[in-house]
Amino acid sequence: MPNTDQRSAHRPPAHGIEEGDHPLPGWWSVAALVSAVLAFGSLFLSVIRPDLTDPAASYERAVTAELQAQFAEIGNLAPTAGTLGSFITDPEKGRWLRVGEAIFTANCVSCHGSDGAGVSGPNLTDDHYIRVRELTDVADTVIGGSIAAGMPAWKDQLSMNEIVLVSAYAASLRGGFVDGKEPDGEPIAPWFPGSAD
Amino acid sequence: MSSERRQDAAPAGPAGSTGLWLDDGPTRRFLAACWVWGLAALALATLAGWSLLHPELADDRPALGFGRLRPLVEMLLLHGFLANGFFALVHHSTQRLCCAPMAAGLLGRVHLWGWQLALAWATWTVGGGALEPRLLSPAEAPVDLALAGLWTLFGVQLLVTLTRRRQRYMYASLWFYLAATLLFGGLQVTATLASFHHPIFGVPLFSGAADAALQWWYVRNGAGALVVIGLFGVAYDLAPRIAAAPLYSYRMGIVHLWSLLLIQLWVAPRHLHLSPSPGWLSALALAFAFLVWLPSASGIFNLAATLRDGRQGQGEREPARAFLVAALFFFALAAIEEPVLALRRMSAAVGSTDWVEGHQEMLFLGWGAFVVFAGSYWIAPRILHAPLHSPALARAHFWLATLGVLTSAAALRFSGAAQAGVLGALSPDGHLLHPEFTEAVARVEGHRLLHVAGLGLFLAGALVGAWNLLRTWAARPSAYPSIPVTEPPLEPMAIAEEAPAPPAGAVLDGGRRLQVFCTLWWHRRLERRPLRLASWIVVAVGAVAALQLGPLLRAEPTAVASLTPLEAYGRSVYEREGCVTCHTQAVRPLLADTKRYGAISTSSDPVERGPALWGTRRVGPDLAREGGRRSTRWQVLHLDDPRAASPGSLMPSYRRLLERPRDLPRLVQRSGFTKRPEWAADAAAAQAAALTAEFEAQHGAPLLRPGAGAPAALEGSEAIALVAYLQQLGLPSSEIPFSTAASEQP
Repeated sequence: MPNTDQRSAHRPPAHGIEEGDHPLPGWWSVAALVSAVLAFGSLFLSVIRPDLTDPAASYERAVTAELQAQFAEIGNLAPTAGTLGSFITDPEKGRWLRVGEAIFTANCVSCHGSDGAGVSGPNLTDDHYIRVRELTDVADTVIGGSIAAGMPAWKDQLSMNEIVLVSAYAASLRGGFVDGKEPDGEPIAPWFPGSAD
Repeated sequence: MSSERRQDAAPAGPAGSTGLWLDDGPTRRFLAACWVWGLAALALATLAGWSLLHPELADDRPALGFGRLRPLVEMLLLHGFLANGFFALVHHSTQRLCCAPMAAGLLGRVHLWGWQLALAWATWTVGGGALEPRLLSPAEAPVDLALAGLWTLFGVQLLVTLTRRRQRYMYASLWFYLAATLLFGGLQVTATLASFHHPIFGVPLFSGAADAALQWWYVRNGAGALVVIGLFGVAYDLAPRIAAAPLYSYRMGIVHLWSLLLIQLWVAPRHLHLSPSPGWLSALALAFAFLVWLPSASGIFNLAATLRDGRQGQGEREPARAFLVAALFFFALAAIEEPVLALRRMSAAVGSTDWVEGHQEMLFLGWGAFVVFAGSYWIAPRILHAPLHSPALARAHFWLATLGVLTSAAALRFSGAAQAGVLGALSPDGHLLHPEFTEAVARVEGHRLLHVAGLGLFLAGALVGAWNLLRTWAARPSAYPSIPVTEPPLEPMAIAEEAPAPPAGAVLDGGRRLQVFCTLWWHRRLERRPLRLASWIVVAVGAVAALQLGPLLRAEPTAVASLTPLEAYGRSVYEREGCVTCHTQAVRPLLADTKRYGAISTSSDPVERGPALWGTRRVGPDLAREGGRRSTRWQVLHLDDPRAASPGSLMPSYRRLLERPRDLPRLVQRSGFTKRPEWAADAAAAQAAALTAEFEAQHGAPLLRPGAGAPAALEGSEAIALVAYLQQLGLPSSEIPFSTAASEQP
């Protein structure tokens, strides 16, 4: 770009700052053009392929993929005594109990303690229970909660598979007798009447 | 000060003068205010960093809590330190660039003292626990109004000075001052409007996504105008003078200014990536992020080349030159980081971690403070008419400040990366590897200690600098010599600018016109017409604002959250105590987020009336879906002693809320039932009684007053209102036991 500026001819800088008139460097214009193309490209892509660029859409894909990866093996679980019991007793399903433990650590330890020994919520490692009488009651309490006991309802926060796994993990803590909160409620029969437990 | 009055009163100067004198009095006073506020802000910043390591400090001294300190520090750094520094340097530079005194007078004195009074008032209220949850603008509406009014006074002074100038063409710095003043003023006025309530409906004027976008506009394009545009203006004045060389490129300055206004402003909503704001906003921010290097690179290149071509730093030039070079370096680091942070993937990783603070700190301390330091060392000998007390101390200040910025910048980035690693880690099975939030807290304890050390070094450097300037001031002459204006007033313009002849090469008519336009000849015409330049700046900024914010302000939320009077009061407690400093309320569409905090926050969630509480940084966990996740008992006990309820937490005790009774007028005002105050009071009392009963049933006993044996007055306290607010967050209104509909039953 030719230096066509005549400023210095009719403006001696009384304020003491002179102005050079170097043109913009060559790389600058090239880089600006490339960036403009990229900017338009990114905008164009978000208009024609929102499924690729929209974070909500990619989140949905991630959830689906994760559910498939995570639960393809076990399918959709229902909170029955048989299902819950199988996760507690079957050593081959021990991996799923670890998933239940992770859900427990993320959501339950603020009241039940990291070892299940109870903080403001009851101790889960003893034989005393407030509302629970049999195995399915554990899942029902997780699902519906109990305002009187201060237990939140989790049916909107966790998926049914997650509820089953966390209930199985919580039930499996029974019998550990970790020192913690004093027993609340009444002693109940073992989960599996047939076993020596 | 008497010497200055003498100087004003006896304008009998040397022969050949025009009867006008430049007045450096306001410059000296603004510079003193800048350093006083700056030292206070840096000391409080160090304290805030320390309180994050020792939350128990704030258990009985709420003013030391991070939730209040952090917003206060940001406000004092911006409005106290950098704004006063900007005023001082603009007063000094504008008079010299215009060859005319600043139009100060009574307006100037009101601006000077009013600004400091407003800041003292803001410090008092924010420190006393009356926060407004707005980014960088934490004081309540009256303070915002005062600052907006005082800034307008400054704008008027600047414009009047420009119209009375005795230099035909305005130098680049003056364009930047004008743009910064108009942009910050506009955003300050808008922020003030946003703090007031709707005159008819009594609800805040902006809510939800519109308010969140406005908050980020204030941070990025208001505060950014002051820190980036304004202080670049200062740097355009400093660099050629320090280097004793011409500005490298006049036309690069033009490109710099207009690309700041037409490109940089678009990138502000990058902070709303992955938030419940409309997708087009974030798509536009992402697109413009590809171009955002244009303004930054032209500014850095232009000034760095000017410094390179000029005299190297020796003698009195050394401190100012060193600080300016370092400022450009730190600005370059932030400018390189900016488009990277604008990528959604990066935003997903380090958004809402300490990294966010790191980026802002680089701009405020690394760039802003360094320009103010460079300017201080450059103008101090000139306005005090005494040589700098000690170049060696200035060198010590430089190295302490540089080391401080580098240390704290590194600490916050490592800390942000570590937090992202802990909080975002998922196992191959898809569960959280570190389900407890406190694991992230424990992981970054060392980084945060390093951050405090960095801030401490920076503060130590500033103290050395303040001492050096104070000793320079002590050596001032008994009367400041007067600086006469020698230029005659401008005469009517004899020659008008004309477009250059089109070059011979171009064939098409349009191509010729484009080439003529690209010579930038038309800008010269603007440079002698300050009002027209100001109008074009307003048009450019107004167009971007209308395109970006207009649709948001017009959009009605899909659903409005109906808070009961008690919950609305609880929200006011949440706002006032600065909970938003540490807790976000926006679950992002990321697996790690939803597994930890619950369902994604979307634009169809009910919008609460009032400032958006989306927050910026997760010092503690997100609370968007907190409702019903924990028992009322846990919530109350957690407010009483957070670190007992959640070991490893950084939350100070809010026991005082358990003891502080609710304020009835505030309840009525916040509930919106100003026409039926008794109804609001009854509804709140009923819900508080029910929640207290729920707590006592779960706890098995009433809450004991700490220390004393008597039961705490939980039912009438502010704490139970806060718990009521927390317990409904994120729940559909049908799930809430005490929705408005339920309370309206007789």
